[in-house]
Amino acid sequence: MSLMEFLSLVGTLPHMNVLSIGADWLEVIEVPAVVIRRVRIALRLSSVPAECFDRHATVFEALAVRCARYAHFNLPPDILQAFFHKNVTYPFLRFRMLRHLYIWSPVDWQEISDVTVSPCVKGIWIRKDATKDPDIVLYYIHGESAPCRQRAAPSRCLANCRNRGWFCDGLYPLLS
Amino acid sequence: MGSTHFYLEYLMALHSLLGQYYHNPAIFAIEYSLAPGAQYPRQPDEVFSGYLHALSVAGSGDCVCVMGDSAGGSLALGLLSDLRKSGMLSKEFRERPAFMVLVSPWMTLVSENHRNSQDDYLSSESLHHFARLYAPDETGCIVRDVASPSVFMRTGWRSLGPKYGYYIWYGKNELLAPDIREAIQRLRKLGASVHVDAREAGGRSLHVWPLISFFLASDQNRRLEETKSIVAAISTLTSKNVD
Repeated sequence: MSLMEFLSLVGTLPHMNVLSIGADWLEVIEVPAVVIRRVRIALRLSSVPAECFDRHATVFEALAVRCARYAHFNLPPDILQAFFHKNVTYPFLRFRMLRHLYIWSPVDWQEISDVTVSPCVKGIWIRKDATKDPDIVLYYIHGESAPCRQRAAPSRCLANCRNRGWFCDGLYPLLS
Repeated sequence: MGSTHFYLEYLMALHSLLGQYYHNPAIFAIEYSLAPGAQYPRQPDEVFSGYLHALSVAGSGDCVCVMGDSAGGSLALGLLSDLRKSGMLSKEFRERPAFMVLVSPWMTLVSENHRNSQDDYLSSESLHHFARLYAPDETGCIVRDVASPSVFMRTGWRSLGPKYGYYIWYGKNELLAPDIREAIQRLRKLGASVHVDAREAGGRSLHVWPLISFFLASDQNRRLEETKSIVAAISTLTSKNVD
C-alpha cells in the first residue's frame, strides 16, 4: 500500500474507490489502532461519546470485541464453528478450571443423546440431585454464530470503517 | 454461538446462581444442528424434541423456564408456535413453559430495523447472509417469514405464551435493538406480560453481553452482574422463591 493510498484511508483524500489492494493488510493494523484508541480515551485525549463501548471497556474487552467483529465479518462458517467445537471449547474449560485449582468439575453434568425420538435429542444436563425431581428446569437454547462468508468489497469495507470513526480516532494518531 | 460445550462454563455459573433460589435446579442445554450444514425447519424441530425431553424430566411445564440468546431466542419463540401446532396447548395449557428469558433475541431474520452500530460486533450484512444460509426458500435467496418470530406472532399469542410472561434483555446500542423494541411493543399489544431489561448504551450494551461479559470481564461482579439480574427475575416473576 502506497502512502497516497494510506492517506486516502484516513480521510485526507476524498476518493475511496481507488483502494482495491491492501485491505487485508489494513486489518492487521486495526488491533494496535484499538489499543491506541483506548489509551487516548484513558488519557482523556479523545472526545469519545459517553455511550461508546470503548469508553467503558478495558483494553482486553475492546480487543476481544474487535476480534469478534473481525471474525463475524470475515471468517467462513466452517472456520468460525471450529472455534466453538467441543474439541476446542472443552479443553479451554479444563484449562480455566485448573487455573482455579479445580481438577474435577464442581457441578455434575452429563451429555445425553436420545436416538429413540425423531429428530434425536442431544444436549447437556446439569443437575444438582438427579435422584430427586427438580423444582425448576431451565431449558437453554444457545445462539448460532453469524458468519459472513462473502467478504465485503474492500472499498466498501474501508468506507464502513471510516464512517464508524475508527480511522479518525484510531489510526490517525499513527500518522500525526 | 456454536455449541453447548462453549456454553458449559456459563451454564455451570447459571446453575450455581439458580441454587440460591431453588432446592434442586436443573439445566438442559439442547445441542441442535447448525446452519449452513442444516437448514430451517431442522433447528426448530430439534428444539421441540428437546423441550419434550426436558418436560419428561420436569413433569410439568409449570417448572420449566425456557431461555435463549440471539438465534436461540428466535427458536424459543418458535417453540411456542410449534407447541400450538402440535395441539399440546389444548391440554389445559399444562405443557407451555412457565417463563421465557430472551437475551438479545433475533426477532426478524431480515429487517430494515437492523442498523449497524458503531460498537456492536455484528453487522447487518453478516446477519442477513446468515439468515439466507439458515432459512432459504426454494430459490435459495429469500428468507422465509415463517422463521421470524416478529412475523409469526399474531393474535392469540397471549394464551400461547408462557404462564408468567417474558423477560427480555437487550443492549440499547446493539444491532438488533430497534427490532427487539418493536417486537416488545407487539407482544405487549397482544396482551403478553413482558419484563424488559434494556441496558443503556455504553459498556454493557452489546449483543448478548451477559454471556460475553462472563468470558471477558476482569472481575466477578462485572462478570455475573447481568446473569444475576436474570436469575433473580426468574425467581421473582415465577413466584418460586423458596428462601
